[in-house]
Amino acid sequence: MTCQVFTPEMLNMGFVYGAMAIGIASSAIMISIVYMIGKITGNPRLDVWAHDELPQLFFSALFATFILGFLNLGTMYKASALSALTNFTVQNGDMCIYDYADAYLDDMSVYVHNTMRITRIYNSMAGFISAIWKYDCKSVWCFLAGQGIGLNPDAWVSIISSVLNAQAYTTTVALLGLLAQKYLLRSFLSGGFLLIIPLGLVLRSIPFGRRVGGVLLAIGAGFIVFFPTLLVIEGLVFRPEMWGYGNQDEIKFLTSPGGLNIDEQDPYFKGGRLEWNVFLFGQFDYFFKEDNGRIFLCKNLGPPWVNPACSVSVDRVLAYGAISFLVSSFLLSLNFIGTSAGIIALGKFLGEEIEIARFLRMV
Amino acid sequence: MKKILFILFLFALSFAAQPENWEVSSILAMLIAALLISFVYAGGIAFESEGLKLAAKQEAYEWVATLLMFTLFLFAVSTIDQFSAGASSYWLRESLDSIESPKHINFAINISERLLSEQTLLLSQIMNLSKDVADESTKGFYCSGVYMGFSINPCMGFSTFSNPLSMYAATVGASIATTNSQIFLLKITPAFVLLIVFPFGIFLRCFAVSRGLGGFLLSLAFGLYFAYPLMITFMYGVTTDYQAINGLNPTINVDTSGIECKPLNMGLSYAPDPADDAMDATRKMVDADYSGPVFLALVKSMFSEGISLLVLISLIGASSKAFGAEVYAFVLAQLERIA
Repeated sequence: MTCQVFTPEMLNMGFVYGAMAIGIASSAIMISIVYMIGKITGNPRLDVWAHDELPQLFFSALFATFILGFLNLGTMYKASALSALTNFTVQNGDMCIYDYADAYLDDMSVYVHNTMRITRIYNSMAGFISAIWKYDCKSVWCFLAGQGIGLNPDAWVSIISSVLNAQAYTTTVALLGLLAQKYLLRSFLSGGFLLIIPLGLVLRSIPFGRRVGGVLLAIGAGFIVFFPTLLVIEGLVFRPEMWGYGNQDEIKFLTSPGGLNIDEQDPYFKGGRLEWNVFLFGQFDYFFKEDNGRIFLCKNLGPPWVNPACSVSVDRVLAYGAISFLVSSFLLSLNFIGTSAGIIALGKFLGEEIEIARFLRMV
Repeated sequence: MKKILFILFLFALSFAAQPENWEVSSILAMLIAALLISFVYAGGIAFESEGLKLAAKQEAYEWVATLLMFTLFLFAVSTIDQFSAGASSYWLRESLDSIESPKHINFAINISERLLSEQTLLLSQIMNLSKDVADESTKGFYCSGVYMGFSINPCMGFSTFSNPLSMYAATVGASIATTNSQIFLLKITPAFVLLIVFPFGIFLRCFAVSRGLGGFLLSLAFGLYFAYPLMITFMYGVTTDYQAINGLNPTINVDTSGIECKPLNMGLSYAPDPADDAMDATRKMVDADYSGPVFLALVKSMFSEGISLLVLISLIGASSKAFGAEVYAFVLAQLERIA
């Protein structure tokens, strides 16, 4: 859990505060000396420089308060506190803000992975069923000399593979996107938290290191403050199960003995009785069935094969894929755009133009 | 003077809105921001710093701009129902009386669900057509004797239909996926925008350090809440009108019941030339009118949905600058490569 691992106490606050105090004190002394020299020599440029530097000291102090305040807020406050601001019921509200963002990415990874599994099962079943070849013996000559017509009665289901092939690719990219965000969040909460922010704060306190410090702070704050904030905002609402698109029950039904009992580790999806049933009854256990304009994956529960158990329809699987794409690839882009917007504006506030849009285009 | 009158007009209209938590929290955020700005200005006076005073003045302008955005949003939220009800009855000839508020979003969900059921039906029809074609194309004749045998596939010609049908099914499948994501986005929009994005956006935009993210969230709120559902309704209206005028039936009307390729006569008696049967069946399928289904799959679904999304992205890109955020929103448009 992020909040238990990365707490403000982990930061060597004594060092940071000390370094900041030294930086601010040395800046104040330097500004005073420059101001004094300006007055003595009657040089207005030095006078103006000293005047301009004073607000920068103020901004540094303000920014230090902001970032440390947010870190405390992020690690100490529960996600349920957001409901007071938003009037929205928060799931897993007992988590702190960072844990909430992390847990949201975990939840969505599970969702996308489930979609991948469902897509793979449907794809494999379609490929397998479509390849079954049936031989019809049409006359007594069959027994003397093999003769007859054969066909693949379910060859049409290969079209389901055509429909779902693109989804297999999309969900893979979606899962990668979620894992990348998770890695980014964790790495910034450790490396960024422990290195970039203190370094930026210290450099920002020194006049000659202000620009570099400003850039470090803007980027650090962007990924430590804005990025998790966006994830939390999304985590409140972008939850498929809240809107009737949950897929946990479906994957359970597909793979559990109480349901279709498809063994994902079995490359042939035999289901135990495949060869025997095909030989004896000419009927494969699994099949795709059309019902009311929708195509379902079903399983015979045994002879005489009435009331087969059916899983979700193919168009429903497509819906899972669409939502997996939304909660991952779409939101990933949105998060990067939002974070970059925050970094650009913050950079300007700290006196440095950051061209992060170029970086974003590269990504 | 005109600007002042416009602001007063917006303020007057904004009272039509019923205050809820998101409005209260937004107002609170603005009050806090006003307090902070006054502190900065006071600091400027105390330190005799023109820089601080200038920064405070700049922030005061931004504060007024945020207030204006807040008022504009209040006005738009309170009047969008009347606007969408009037526009749909006049243009789409559909009454929104029975649809709950926010009518424009719920109506967009409604028409997206209609579109989804049409697409699902079309996919099932393509699969049925594919079933008949696949049955014929995989037929093979097999004969074996002692130590030797042969098999032929005389109806292989039917498999030429398989590729276009596969492509067609993949397109309709992609449309179904797009419509589902459209419905999901529309379903979450009222809660996501009104309860979360907009209050957060206003709150974050009030402070200089978080103005970029705040501005982006506001542009996202405007785009998602207003432009996206209205654009979906607009595109649906345009394509449905065209469909009705040109009599484009979105279903596949091909009678495939008589399609049968006879590879060989198993009873060893005379049989018609299998090539003739195949030609008859082929003619039936080729001569069928596919314009309606193709229009549904490509124009009414993919094209319309793409246009609606592009408008949303363009609006985010264009409005984010006005809201105080510099973003490269067209990154979102690159998503089509992944999708």
